[in-house]
Amino acid sequence: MIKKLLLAAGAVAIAAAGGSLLHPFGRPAAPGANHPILRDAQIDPATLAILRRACQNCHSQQTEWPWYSHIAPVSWLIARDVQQARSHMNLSQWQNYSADDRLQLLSAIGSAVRNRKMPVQRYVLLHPEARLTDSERQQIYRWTRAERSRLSLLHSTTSLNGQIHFVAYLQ
Amino acid sequence: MRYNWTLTILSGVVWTTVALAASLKDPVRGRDAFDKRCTGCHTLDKIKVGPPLRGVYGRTAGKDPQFAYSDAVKAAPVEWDEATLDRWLTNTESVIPGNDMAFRLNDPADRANIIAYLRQLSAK
Repeated sequence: MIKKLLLAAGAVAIAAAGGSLLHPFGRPAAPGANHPILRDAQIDPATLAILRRACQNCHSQQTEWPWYSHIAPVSWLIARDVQQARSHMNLSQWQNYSADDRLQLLSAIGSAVRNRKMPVQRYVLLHPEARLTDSERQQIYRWTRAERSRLSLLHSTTSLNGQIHFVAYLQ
Repeated sequence: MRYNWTLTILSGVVWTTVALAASLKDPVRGRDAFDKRCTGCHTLDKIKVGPPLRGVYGRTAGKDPQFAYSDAVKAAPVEWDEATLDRWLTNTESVIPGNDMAFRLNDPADRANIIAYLRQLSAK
């Protein structure tokens, strides 16, 4: 009986170790990646700290991979979740998004956080440090609105300058 | 001269066809367009990033009690009909300045079809 149990445990361990070498959803863990989040955004340190605590683990390249994220099949599920989260929004790539994309993402961040859709519940169960208080949710929401206003103004000023230059060019 | 007239008539026919196609407002195409363009943020029955949209046609803006709207939308005396939804999807700021939806749908046919789809859902 004990021998059978040991054999079964050994088989499971070998399968987990072998499975951990497979990456059916890609390999999001880029070793040594150091991409600061929200480059080019104007954000106060307190709000940035909240976003680092609650969002960057899935929505950036700054993911901290827990020990269980290296063991199959959990590793596959976590890798898939992180890939999906980054495909929706990658805060490490902020500077590469167009102005329109940034405006849309800011409006989505504000609304999702304010309506308690983010961080997702099952993530918070495993990462209680990502839990947001009501005032933190409001703080993020206020920042998204301020940053949207700043970007819109910047965008319209840039467009206006472009038009002025174009008119000057025509004359 | 005859060439110019032929071109004018041809372009008239093309534009009339395009305008006619845009005015057909097909709810079936609207459902496809909704799936492609809206479901990133909306579902019909549950809050996602935005509020659920079943029944939105004919409703006053900002009135789903489950959703935390911006102050601007909550205070806006806007009823969602064909005209307001078309303007909203073209440029949300032109309907309710200071709202939280930064999205534009530039294709008039997509807008018309999606509005037809939302209207059909409200009628059920």
